Amino acid sequence: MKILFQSLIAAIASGSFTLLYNATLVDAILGGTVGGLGWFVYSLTAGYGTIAATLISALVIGLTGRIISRIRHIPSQPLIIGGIVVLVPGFTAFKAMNFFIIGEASSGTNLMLDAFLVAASIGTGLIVAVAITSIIFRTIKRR
Amino acid sequence: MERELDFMTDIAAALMRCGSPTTRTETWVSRIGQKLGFEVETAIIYTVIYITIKDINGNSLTITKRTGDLSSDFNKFIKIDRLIKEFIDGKINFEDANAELKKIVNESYTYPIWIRIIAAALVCGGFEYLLIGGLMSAVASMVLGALVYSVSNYIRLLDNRFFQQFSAGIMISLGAWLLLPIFKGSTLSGIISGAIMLFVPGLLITNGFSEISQSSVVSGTVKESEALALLIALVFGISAGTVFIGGMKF
Repeated sequence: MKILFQSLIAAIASGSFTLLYNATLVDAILGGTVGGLGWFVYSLTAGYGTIAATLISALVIGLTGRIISRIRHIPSQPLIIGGIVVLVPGFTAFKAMNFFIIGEASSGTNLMLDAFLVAASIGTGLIVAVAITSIIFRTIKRR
Repeated sequence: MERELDFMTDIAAALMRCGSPTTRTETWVSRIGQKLGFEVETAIIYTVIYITIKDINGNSLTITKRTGDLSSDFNKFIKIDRLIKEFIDGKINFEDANAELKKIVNESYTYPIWIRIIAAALVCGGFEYLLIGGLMSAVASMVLGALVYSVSNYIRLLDNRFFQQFSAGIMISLGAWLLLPIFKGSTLSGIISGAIMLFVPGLLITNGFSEISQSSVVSGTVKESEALALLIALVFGISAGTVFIGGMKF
């Protein structure tokens, strides 16, 4: 139940974020739905560790975003960016930089490395999603 | 030939200003060029666009253009993307596409400020709840996020992103300190963690990595460097604000 409530909050937050970038209301709602789904998957797979959970979640966001964008004949970026915003390591990067400022360089380095690994896993998940959907779409087009 | 090249450059610049990924923009420009009957070489390095076209007689023309400040406007991005698809599919001719592009670029529709302030508040409160978990801190983050977002809309007029981030950092830390006694049960780190989410360049970090892995190494690396600079400005701003409070640890 808690996961569902958090996913709803994630959907509202990511939908609002998409709206701030001037998306239409429909695209903001869809971006929010993708974000909520992403957080739901992230919460379910959190037991495997942050990196693995982020990778799986980014893959699901990428696949969902690409499929919805294909149906609506729009680019997938607005939906995917709306979706991944709940996963991006902005707060971790901020904490890392804060540690550097207060002179705790070792803690800062660890957190910055975490932030880059999470960013890398999001990027990897999205690239894999693009590759999978490209193959699927090409196959459908040939038929 | 010059008109066609100008059209391709305008498309590339408009896409980049709307937040299009570098690789996608390069692909679109190449396909437009092919549609117009040219051989095309394109390189987009963050804010600089290089396009060379060559016709069947071997005459070539090169253009270099700076895009200026990059931001994200999904509405324009979707419209330009649709226009390109229609042009490539032959549903619209060159003249009409050129006119339509100018019309889209000159559009300046944004949501009313009150809608954007509510959206900013929901982003801040939502992220605080997801990342930290305190309900009162989430409410305080919503209030602070809305206030800082509205003020930073005016500071944006100064057109210096480092200064915008720095001033947002100062406002967030001082605002969090002022809101702490009003919202009983909230924490300083909780309020700040939600309010900063509008300003941390998390997307830039992720997009930068995506571009590096899609062979746009220079563009991706530049994005990572910019993200780092913006992050430093934000943290310096928060640190400057917290000097008055007496230090803060997360």
